[in-house]
Amino acid sequence: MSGPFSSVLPSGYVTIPPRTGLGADEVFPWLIDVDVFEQAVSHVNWDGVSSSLGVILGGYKFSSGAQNDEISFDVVLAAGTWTVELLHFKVPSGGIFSLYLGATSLGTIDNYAAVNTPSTLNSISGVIIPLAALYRLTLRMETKNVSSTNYGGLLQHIQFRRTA
Amino acid sequence: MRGTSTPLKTGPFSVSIPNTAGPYNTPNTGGGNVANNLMQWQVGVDVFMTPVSHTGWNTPVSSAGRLYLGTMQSSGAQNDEISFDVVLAAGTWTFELIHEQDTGIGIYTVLFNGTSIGTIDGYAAVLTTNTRSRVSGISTTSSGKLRITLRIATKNASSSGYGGRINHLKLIRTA
Repeated sequence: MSGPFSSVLPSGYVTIPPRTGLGADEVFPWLIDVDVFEQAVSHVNWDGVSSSLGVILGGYKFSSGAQNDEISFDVVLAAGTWTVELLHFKVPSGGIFSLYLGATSLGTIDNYAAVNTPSTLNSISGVIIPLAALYRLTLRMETKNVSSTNYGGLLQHIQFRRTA
Repeated sequence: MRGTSTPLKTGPFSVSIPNTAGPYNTPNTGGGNVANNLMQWQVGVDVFMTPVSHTGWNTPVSSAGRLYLGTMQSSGAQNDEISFDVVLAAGTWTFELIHEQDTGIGIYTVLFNGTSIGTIDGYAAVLTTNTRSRVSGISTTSSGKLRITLRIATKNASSSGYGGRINHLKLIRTA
């Protein structure tokens, strides 16, 4: 095994061989967490935070409940295949998250539940990123479940995971 | 409130990636500075682990009703400080602190590599959890590692002490 780390470490240390064939994209992270409580790069009526006992991370960021409220975050993604996952708080007044990267729709995630259901995980997989670049993820409450009373968005966390 | 940090050390950030738009792409800004624009635009810091450096500020306290379910608390002495190392791209950044205001909390002086970029008052007449305070318009002139320090150097005239209680911090690049 050869590498920049193997020859300088004292005995007793474990050296981890790098993957072979590393390209430029391989230096980018494969897991990107987005903390949603702080300022979003852009939002429409979606900047309220509430702490809540029994909710993972201790709270959530909530929209006004109006249709088409939206919130955006900038992330740099490597070329590859990605999964985007939401940790969210489903409520009887929840809308449906429409997810976009730039102007391209990725899919939807329903934030409605008949009873309050915090810390729900839902993801959209198979997002193909052809080029490493800065991307803007937007969540917009365009529609709602027929059973829901409103278009509310309650968000606890976002994670991007590269799968290939 | 605006400020400019001291110049940062230039790092080995050169990677060979074409600066062209993809189907999902928000176009890069900054002309040919491709590597800089491929660095992350949001950097969050979990404050509950041991900081890279601190003076009297290393006590995590779990508390219900707080975002992230707790605060990292200082000893209450003047000039207590806590530091975190982050790598930031050159650009314009907003610093945001989620903190807990109370009657005995001081004023956070925010330093980037030892240079003050602004202050955030932790005092409130009554306990106020999950306060979000920002310093915007922070200009970093080159990419590299940067040490962020919060120092309780001063206090509001109404405050009874120099305490510090923080939940989380984040840097958001805006340009």
